[in-house]
Amino acid sequence: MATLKMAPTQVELLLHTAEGEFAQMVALVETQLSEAITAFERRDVALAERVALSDEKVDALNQRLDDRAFALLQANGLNDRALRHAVSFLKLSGELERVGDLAKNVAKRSVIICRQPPFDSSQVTGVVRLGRASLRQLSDILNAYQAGNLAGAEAVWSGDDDLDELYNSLYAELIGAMTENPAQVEPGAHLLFIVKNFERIGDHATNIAEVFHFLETGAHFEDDRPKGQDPAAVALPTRAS
Amino acid sequence: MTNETDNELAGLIRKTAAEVRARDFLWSAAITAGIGIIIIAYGPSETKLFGFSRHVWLPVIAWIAFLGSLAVRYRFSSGREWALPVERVVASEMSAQEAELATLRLARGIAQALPEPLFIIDANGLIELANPAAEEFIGATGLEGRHFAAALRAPIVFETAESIAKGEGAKVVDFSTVSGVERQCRAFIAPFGDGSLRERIFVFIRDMTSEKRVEQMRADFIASASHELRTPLASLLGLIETLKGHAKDDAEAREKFLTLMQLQAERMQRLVSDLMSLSRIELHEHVPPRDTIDITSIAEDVVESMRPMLEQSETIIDYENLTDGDLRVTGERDEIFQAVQNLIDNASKYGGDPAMIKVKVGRGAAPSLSQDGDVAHRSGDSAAQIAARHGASADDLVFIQVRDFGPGIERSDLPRLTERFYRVNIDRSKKAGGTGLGLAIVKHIMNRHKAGLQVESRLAAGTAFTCYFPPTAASSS
Repeated sequence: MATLKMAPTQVELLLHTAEGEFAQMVALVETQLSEAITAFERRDVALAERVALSDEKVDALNQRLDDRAFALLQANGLNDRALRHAVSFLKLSGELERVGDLAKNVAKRSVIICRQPPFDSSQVTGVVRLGRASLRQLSDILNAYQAGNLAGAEAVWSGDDDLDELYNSLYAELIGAMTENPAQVEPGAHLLFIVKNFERIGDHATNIAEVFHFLETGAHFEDDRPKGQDPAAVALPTRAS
Repeated sequence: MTNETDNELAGLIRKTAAEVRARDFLWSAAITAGIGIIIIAYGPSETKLFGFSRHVWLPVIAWIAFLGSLAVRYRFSSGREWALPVERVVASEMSAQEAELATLRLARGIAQALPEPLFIIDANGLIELANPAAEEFIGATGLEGRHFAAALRAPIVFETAESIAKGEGAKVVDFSTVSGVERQCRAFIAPFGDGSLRERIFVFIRDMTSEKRVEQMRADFIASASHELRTPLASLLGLIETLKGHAKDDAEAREKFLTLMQLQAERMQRLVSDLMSLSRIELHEHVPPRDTIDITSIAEDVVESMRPMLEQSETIIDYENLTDGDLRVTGERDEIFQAVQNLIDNASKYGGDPAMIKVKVGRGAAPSLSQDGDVAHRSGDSAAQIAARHGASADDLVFIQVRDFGPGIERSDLPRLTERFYRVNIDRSKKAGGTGLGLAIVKHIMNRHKAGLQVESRLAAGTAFTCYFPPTAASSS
């Protein structure tokens, strides 16, 4: 039995297509980050190189989503919500594209690190942990977005301080290890960049949470986000003499 | 497609009805013709009726008889003679459709009953059918009508589905899921039916995590076992060497060295048993627990079972249930027992000398360290995060908190406590007989239960470990 259904309007169709493409982009970026972490952890050069290449697809999707958003903005009779959607797609695809770039950078640095003698294992586990924590934040906010769960967005938004703390702890530890052993300076520098990338990914997750909050409510988060200790203020370990 | 069959059916009914009408007309015509023939054959040739000659009244009578016979047929028959053939056509058509529907229902029933995830996707990439196993796999309900890429965030799978929709043949791809515990899976993707129009794609998923995990675990186990056992083994060898050498005849030194050797051996034993239980937990971390258990009874049992041991070290332990009822969660009793045991064990080792431990269970957000005074540092999953991950309210979460009043933990150490072999103070840990795996085990147990572990600590005021469990499906709905 065919049920009577109103034919979708042009705006609805556009929104629907954009939603589908956004879902693809989400999956791509999330997988890219997850594989970058795995490649780093297992010193898997082939996987790292693959991740670095998959960035093209993300860029293509980003452009396509931008085009969709423009098409939406040009359509007639946009209501408030559809307008917010169009703007959100512009912002969200930009954020995801940045996350993709950072993941690519992690993968590229992993390739370099793999060619050097292994770093101290406890620091490597720490870096992987930070990576997984950033992935968790990203997955959480993307799940919240797809389920329309505002509380989830708020939890991610206020959960970023944990990442900051982990980052600070690792930063101090890596600097300490580099000070003690000059041979570790070069891989250590790459590790520092990787750690910073993960920390940035956490920031992008909170940005996505903000955009999503705006999309659903039309308003911004009100309180100040809890922040971890300022990285510049972290006390570095004094060199053991 | 349905339109065509509808048209066919309507045509068939029209044709049948026309045939019935034609047959009816022929019968009526035959009856009146018969009456006419009888009158013509047997009636007197010049008979007049009411002054009309035969060529007038005979057709009139024939016409009246015709009408009469028609009237009899139309008025006094129930219409069944005409309706029956049409009914027969409709019935046979209906039973054919019924059979088709039954087949469809059967197919749907099989799909629903399959223990492995199955999706059917339409040409636009929207999910047309997702069986319960698929919903469990994704961890969400009401998937039908959503974008496949939004439900299963695995690029390789939906890219393959797209290429199959464009005309490629069936394919098998391997992928891994990202959210939560990582799972390695294999997807079988095929066009549905054999028509040239690829209206539907069929995606069948097999979870291969168990197989892959066994390999990975074995490698990890060997790596960490060999790394961690190296130190105690080296010191054992050193002691043996000394015993064989200059301590050979020194009874006092022998006694001392043997005690040290025993300590090292016991440490290795603990390490091996911790490593094994960690491996065991990791091995089925992706298998969600099924039993319903009561957190209060577990907490009570752990506290009671540890009390004698704790009393020996003059540790004070205090248990408090902040709700009046029981606290049911979905979980595995033995694992949660072990997690709580590890937390209490840790608190007794690092929570001051002698330690004082408070164990609290309850619902909602646990009492926070920062409530009674200055700021405490926090790490791990907050109640809000766990609640959001499950789409539940933070007030429905069940928690168990183990708190000590010891020296507290440095802010920079907090986020890394649950790393395996991460020790805040290596000397202290070794003295207390720690393996560096206790909290890692707790963390993995929490992961398996989709629960969270939060650490709060303030220097000189103590540390609180809180496990947050999601409410059971029954109690949240």
